[in-house]
Amino acid sequence: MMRTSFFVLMTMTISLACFSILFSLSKGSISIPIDQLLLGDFNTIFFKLRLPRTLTAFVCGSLLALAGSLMQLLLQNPLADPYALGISGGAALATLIMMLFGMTDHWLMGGAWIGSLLTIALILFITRKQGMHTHSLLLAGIALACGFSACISFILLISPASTLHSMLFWLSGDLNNAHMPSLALIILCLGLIICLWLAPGFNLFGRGEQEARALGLASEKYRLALYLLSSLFTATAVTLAGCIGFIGLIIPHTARLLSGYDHRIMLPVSALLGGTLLTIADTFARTLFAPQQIPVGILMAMIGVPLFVCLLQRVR
Amino acid sequence: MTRLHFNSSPLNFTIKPGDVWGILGPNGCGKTTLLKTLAGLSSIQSGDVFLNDQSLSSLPLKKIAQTIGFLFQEMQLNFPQTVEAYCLAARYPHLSYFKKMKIEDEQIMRQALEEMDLTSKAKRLIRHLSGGERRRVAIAALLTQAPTIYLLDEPTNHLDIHHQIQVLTYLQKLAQSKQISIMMALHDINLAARFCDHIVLLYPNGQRLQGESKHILTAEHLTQLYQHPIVSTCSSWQPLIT
Repeated sequence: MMRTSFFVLMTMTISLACFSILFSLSKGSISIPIDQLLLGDFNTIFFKLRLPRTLTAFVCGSLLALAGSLMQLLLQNPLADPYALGISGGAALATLIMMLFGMTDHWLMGGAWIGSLLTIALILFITRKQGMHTHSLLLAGIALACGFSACISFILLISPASTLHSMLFWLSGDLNNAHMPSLALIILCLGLIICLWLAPGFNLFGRGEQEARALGLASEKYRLALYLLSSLFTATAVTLAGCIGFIGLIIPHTARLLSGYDHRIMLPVSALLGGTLLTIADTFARTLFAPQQIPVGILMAMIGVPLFVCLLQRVR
Repeated sequence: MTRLHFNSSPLNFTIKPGDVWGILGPNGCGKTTLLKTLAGLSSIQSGDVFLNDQSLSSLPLKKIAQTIGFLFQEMQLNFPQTVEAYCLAARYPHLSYFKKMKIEDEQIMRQALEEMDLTSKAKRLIRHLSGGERRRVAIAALLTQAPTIYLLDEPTNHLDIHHQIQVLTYLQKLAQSKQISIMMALHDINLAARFCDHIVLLYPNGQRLQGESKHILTAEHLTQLYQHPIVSTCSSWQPLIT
């Protein structure tokens, strides 16, 4: 029975993911019929623009959904999201500093990546004496996030009008400068394999660290693994597309409603649904007011808020 | 045959297969701490805990969990889980390197649910169950873990009188038939007198007393322990305390 429902669920989510990717590839300022996607006429649009952007949206959504699932488990709180520990703040601050100095493109991605990794390392350094306990991680993350937020406001205040627009666009979540997400795809695939390997332990971790330990789980190692994996996924996603909210909060809930608590099923379902939702949202973000584009983060919030309210109504 | 030996002044005892031990004492006297120390979940200040002559601190966590099962006072439920998923996860210490559940694991879980009258609730979410039913779910998970030493922190919490007797009778029979050992913290002296053959009394002033129930469970000791007048209504050593 369980196996049957697992296969039905996986078939359903994989089909949805394929549909969203094809939908995104074919829609844009110029609509391309699905049967002509690979033809010479649309070759440049397909390979240079649509494919990198669609893949980036899908990978970024999957990473955020996975990061949200793991962060909720780490903080033992179903309302946590990938940005709870201030990693996005570190990435945003580094990116905005790059923008302030006139850097573009790969410099911005590199800046976001280094900013995220430095924040991860800083939180580990701050909490090392407390044994990296969940509460210490959370408090250190919140404190750093507040600090980053103040610095970001300051940079926005002193920035010239010419860069302010692109800064706000980036902060709202933006896939405009998408490149082929090869590294992110590798991180997603390897990360998901590690997650599936650790999933039986994750199932115990949700019972609280002491109860998990009583069942033979080295909970400190799992806590560190959860922190590093969720931080790495968040850092990669933020580097690709800025701060896109709600996916990391609502998708884990939706996945749990559909698949139950078993992380061997819940995590892949979460990744597939996250990718699907962001790919569809990004397609609308660039087609609703074409040729004008709106930041996908704003559209995600517009979809995410009512969806989350509906979910809250369903959960008794 | 597994023996658990606790060696820490002023307490020094060995829990042998088939033994049922009770821990009695007022709130805050250290019942939970003692149980957690025996399970290796709290560090010990002086002395050591030995599992079959091996120090607990030298054993891997999984090995300890295969032998020692711990029932916590309250179940921590941060995420929605069904009864069967919660219980089945307790097979973790017995899983192979590839962490794959076998049909036998599921059979052990089904048997445990049946023993705790929970078969009809297997697919229900735990958060939709009553306090007493949740307690039985936690005990069913412990039975699914199938250790040889059971450390139970107030196992009768939230249970009605029928289920208190049913659960403790089942565990007592299990101790006799399968030669497992049980140590449980209790607040009900009558239940301790009925089901435990050895007792540890933990006094608020740090004094400890241990021994066979018939020697320990006297009105005098219990009155001193709880600092409240306790009278035995029976002349035998197995009293009903009013």
